[in-house]
Amino acid sequence: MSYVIAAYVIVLASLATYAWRLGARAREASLHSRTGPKARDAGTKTPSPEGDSIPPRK
Amino acid sequence: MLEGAAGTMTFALRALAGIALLGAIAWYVSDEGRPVRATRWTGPATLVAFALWLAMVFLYAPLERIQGFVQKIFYVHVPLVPPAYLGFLLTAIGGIGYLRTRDERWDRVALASAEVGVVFCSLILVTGPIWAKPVWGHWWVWDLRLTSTLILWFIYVAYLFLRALAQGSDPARTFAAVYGIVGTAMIPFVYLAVDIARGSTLHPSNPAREGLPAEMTHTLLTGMGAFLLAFWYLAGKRLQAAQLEDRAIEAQREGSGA
Repeated sequence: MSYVIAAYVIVLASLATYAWRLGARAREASLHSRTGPKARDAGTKTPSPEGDSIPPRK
Repeated sequence: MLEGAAGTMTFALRALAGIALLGAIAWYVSDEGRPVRATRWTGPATLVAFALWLAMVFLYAPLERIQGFVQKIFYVHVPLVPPAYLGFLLTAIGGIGYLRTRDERWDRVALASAEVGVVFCSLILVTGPIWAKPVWGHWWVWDLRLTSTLILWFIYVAYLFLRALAQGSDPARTFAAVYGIVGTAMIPFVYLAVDIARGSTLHPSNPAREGLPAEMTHTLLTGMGAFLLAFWYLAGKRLQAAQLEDRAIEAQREGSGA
């Protein structure tokens, strides 16, 4: 019984923690990406992170 | 004679279906915005699928005659395998895309997929011993399936270390792409390890060949669906984080006048 519970708890807790960490990482990166001079000078918000792809660096 | 021809046809059809599926996946990730946008529905869908899967595991699937309740670990251990393999295959697809186009978006797909694949592979290596201890009496045995899975995990952990140590340079990305492509050669070996080591391994054969009762099959397939949804959600989130991190680096460069 305890082996089964351990297996399910470890898997679900790990995936939930990883998802939460990714969310926190994205929020932090989003904050840093808004400190660029273009965003500041234009006084506009940077594009939404939801789904827009950025062009490749040359 | 006829049986042989039918077998060849079945194999050819499966190979074609596999190639078509890989092509569809490559098309899907060719615009990294797709998996990122899809997190809006893959997240809630994953939660619903997990609830359904847990209900099926504990209320619907019958108790296995020999192992009893501990066999329930089967429904969490086995469904972790397809997302791990998918992550590593996507690493190769991303690598091929990067080598062809030198487009950073493919590189981000490769990196995100490898990381999520390693998460799932790590959980395979954790849940396996938890199941093995009560059933085999040992946490770990050095048989072909377990050892090859551990090697596969090491290959992609090394990939992530490589990426972390050599951030951003084109030669590092090129080397990582080649490494990611070569690494996938291990996947068929891991999958077939139980057949290769037939008779000398404690590990059960691949579920597809076991002829499970219908309730067990339904529960297993629901688990696989739930974990594949979780994979796409996590990969989308990881891609989004990678996009934003690259954008933050751009912003810093512009800020420092580079």
